[in-house]
Amino acid sequence: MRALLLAGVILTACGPSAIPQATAGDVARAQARWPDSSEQQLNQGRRAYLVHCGGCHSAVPPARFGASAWQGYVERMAGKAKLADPDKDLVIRYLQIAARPDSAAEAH
Amino acid sequence: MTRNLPACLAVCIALVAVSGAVQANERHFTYTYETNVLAPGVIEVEPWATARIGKDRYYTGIDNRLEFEVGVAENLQTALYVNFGVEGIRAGNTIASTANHKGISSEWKYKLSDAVADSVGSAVYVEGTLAADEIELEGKLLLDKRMGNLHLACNAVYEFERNAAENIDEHKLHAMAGITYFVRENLSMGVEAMDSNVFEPASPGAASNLMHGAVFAGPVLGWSRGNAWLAVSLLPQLVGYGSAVPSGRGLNLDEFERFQGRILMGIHL
Repeated sequence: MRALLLAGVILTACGPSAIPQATAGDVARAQARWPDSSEQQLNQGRRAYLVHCGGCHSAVPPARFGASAWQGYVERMAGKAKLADPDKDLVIRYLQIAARPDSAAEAH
Repeated sequence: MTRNLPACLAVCIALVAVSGAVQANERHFTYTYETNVLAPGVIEVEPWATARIGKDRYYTGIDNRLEFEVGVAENLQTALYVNFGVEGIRAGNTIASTANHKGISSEWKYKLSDAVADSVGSAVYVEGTLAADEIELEGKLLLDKRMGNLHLACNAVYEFERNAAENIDEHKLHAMAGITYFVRENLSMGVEAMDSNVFEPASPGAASNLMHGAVFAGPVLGWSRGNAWLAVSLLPQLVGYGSAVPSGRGLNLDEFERFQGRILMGIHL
């Protein structure tokens, strides 16, 4: 039981989220592409991403892939994850805004 | 006894072979639960097989479970499963083999926080089992964390078991923990440990005492492809304790086995 508590403390001490909440900067970049975007919308997309994609496997941090890659991944997996519009569209928006810039993603 | 397990494994392997192109609700440990839950409307079937081998006498047990999981709401999933198994025990010069149906179970799991998005993933889990002469209730607190290629998980488990035939109540406390490393996104290798404690009365009606305890630990392997996943472990007993006198080399082979191994599969429907 002591080992369990120790493990809990270690886990709790872990760092910031790899699936970040949308910031004002994210909203400004989203509005440049989708003028109706809001912080609430982007965070709704984040929540839908965690529920639908994080149910089958650990949610992949958005910064792991470039923006252009995310759309393909979501389109391909949406059916089995029971992810339909409007949530699907919000997930794509969130992931593309939180993604690694495409040039950086390609460099890796 | 030997007819049952290969048939179950053959069905599982066939299901994996015909699986498509989307991942299912993956598990990377076999005794330790993780906190993710299926999205609403997603359905998965999970066949399990647990082998328990070697006590202070000849003993082999195979427990099978066929589980149907469904996501019922955001962060909430439920499952219904049937339990059945076989046991082989030495009786004189012969091995007596008995098949048994161990009832049906219902589980509910609610995710409180996410293993990637939050500082720590957490979930609560309750399970009830109804068998011909036995009722079991189980509650678990689940914690886990995914950090890059590393995944850690630990569970605290309380289990109550009422055996109507023997008129005995048992209380069990278990702690499970595991750590695994993702060699590739669909292949993980790690270790898993389980501390099991059984509290029961020395005689019917007496207060419950710690009668048996044991620690198991060993390697665990997780793999996924398409819409299916597989997790396999082999956990030898490392230490045994309790008021029942441990036998052998410091192991409790009266209540627990020398080895436990488990294979889980999941297929997304």
